[in-house]
Amino acid sequence: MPAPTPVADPVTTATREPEPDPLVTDDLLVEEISIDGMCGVY
Amino acid sequence: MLYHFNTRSLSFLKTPTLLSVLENLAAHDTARAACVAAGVPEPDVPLYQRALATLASSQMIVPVALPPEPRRTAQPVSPPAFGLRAGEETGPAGSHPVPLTERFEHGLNAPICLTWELTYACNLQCIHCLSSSGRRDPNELTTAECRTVIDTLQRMQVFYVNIGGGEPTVRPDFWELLDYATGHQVGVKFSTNGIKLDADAARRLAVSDYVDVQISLDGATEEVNDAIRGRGSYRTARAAMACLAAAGFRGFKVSVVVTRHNISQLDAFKQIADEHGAQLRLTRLRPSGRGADVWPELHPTSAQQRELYDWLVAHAEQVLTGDSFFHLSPYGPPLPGLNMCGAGRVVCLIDPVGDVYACPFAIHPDFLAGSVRQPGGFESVWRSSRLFSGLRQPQTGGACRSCGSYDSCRGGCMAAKFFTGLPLDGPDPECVRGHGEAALAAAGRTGAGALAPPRPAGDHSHRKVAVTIGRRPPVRGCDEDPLAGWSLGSGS
Repeated sequence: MPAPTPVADPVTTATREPEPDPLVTDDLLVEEISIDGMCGVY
Repeated sequence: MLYHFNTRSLSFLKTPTLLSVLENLAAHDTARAACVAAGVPEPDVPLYQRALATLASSQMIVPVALPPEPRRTAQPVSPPAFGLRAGEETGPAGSHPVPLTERFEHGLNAPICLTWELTYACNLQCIHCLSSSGRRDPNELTTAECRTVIDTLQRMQVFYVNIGGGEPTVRPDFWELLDYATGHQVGVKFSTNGIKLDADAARRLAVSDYVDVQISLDGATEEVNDAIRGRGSYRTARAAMACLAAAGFRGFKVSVVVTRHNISQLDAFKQIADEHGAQLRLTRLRPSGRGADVWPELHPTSAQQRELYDWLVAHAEQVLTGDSFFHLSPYGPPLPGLNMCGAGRVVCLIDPVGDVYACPFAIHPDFLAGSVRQPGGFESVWRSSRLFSGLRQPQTGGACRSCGSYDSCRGGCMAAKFFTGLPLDGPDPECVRGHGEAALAAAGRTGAGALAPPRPAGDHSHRKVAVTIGRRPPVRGCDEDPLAGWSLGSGS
């Protein structure tokens, strides 16, 4: 018995969104870090 | 980039559109409306929603309806206690923004913060002083020159300055400069031994926005502290802490340089800080200034380094480190902070006479980038000096590159290597893998007949004046009194 041929879901295909801007494909648009003077001057 | 003065959190916005959203927030009823106004495509709104949630959780953005909070609490003040720097490039158009640490390694167009030693004058003679302070340099920057530097820092959008010395509060114009900086959007964190920090000064500081105070204490007991910082210094520091606590200054810092003799007192230091509503800040001893002479006897042993790392991991959320212990990161999970050397890339030093060095622990001609007194001032030095351009080039890692721990320690501290006579592209002298000790031996820096390492530049220590009977040798005022030429009032 032949394997079923995948068929695109017409609804999904019709509503597929355009490729996002490369700038916003990262998981996060913000990177946060704790900064404490960088050297510990005393 | 955004910087929150109280939480010390730095946020990097990876797209200019997010900055536009933030700028639109106050003018719109909802965050969604601000996104739309900034031109965020509808499919991307969830990404921006998540970004705004992150910024809200770190108090970078706060509801406008919140009433102003009293100072020195864990809550943000109103206006929000952050600085914002626009204009840092986010990378070529259409490319992925590079991670924050990678950006830092290539330098920024302005330092995040810098250390500014206002004076070499100091009432103390700490044996590990990184700047060999004691006597005032008669050529130190004038008040007008300091104001010009602050104007430059404001224009460059430097978030804050770490003011030190010497003892900065003995400058008669210290409070004036403090007010001038904070009035020009440059936050101030200053280190003091507490000599001028009385009840009046503490009350003044307690109501100051964008000012933080670090009281230096190098022993949890008088005996241990005064052996490093001099007789009476423990009581002076404790008195200053008491004044700050009584004035309601919450969260000031108790700043400790970790040595072989106080590492067993870490819990006691924390208890002292807790009792004053303060926060403990531990920093690494460097062989800089007078510290070059005592480093071999004072720096923690290998076993103590491991003990320190474990303690820091156990207290990560409660203790600050000045981001100075990244050489310990190969022991396990990295410590909080950037875990990299920021010298000449995101930090630097301005010394009392206006010379600009790569870092406060590298006061030596090899690390002199220029002077704020030269044409173009500090901005020109930061952006055009050959030294800083070189430090911002990709680092090879040298002998450390083949080490499996290089990615976590990045070769350690530049100044520690230099002043122990090690090559800058080799291991840190306190490398936890033991490569530093081997490198020191290979370079002939240990044992009998060891080669002398480079000496720190400029010794401002109090001089011991020889006195002969019947004839007193000529002396200058500043040879005997670090504050010679000043008439100090009691207003501080």
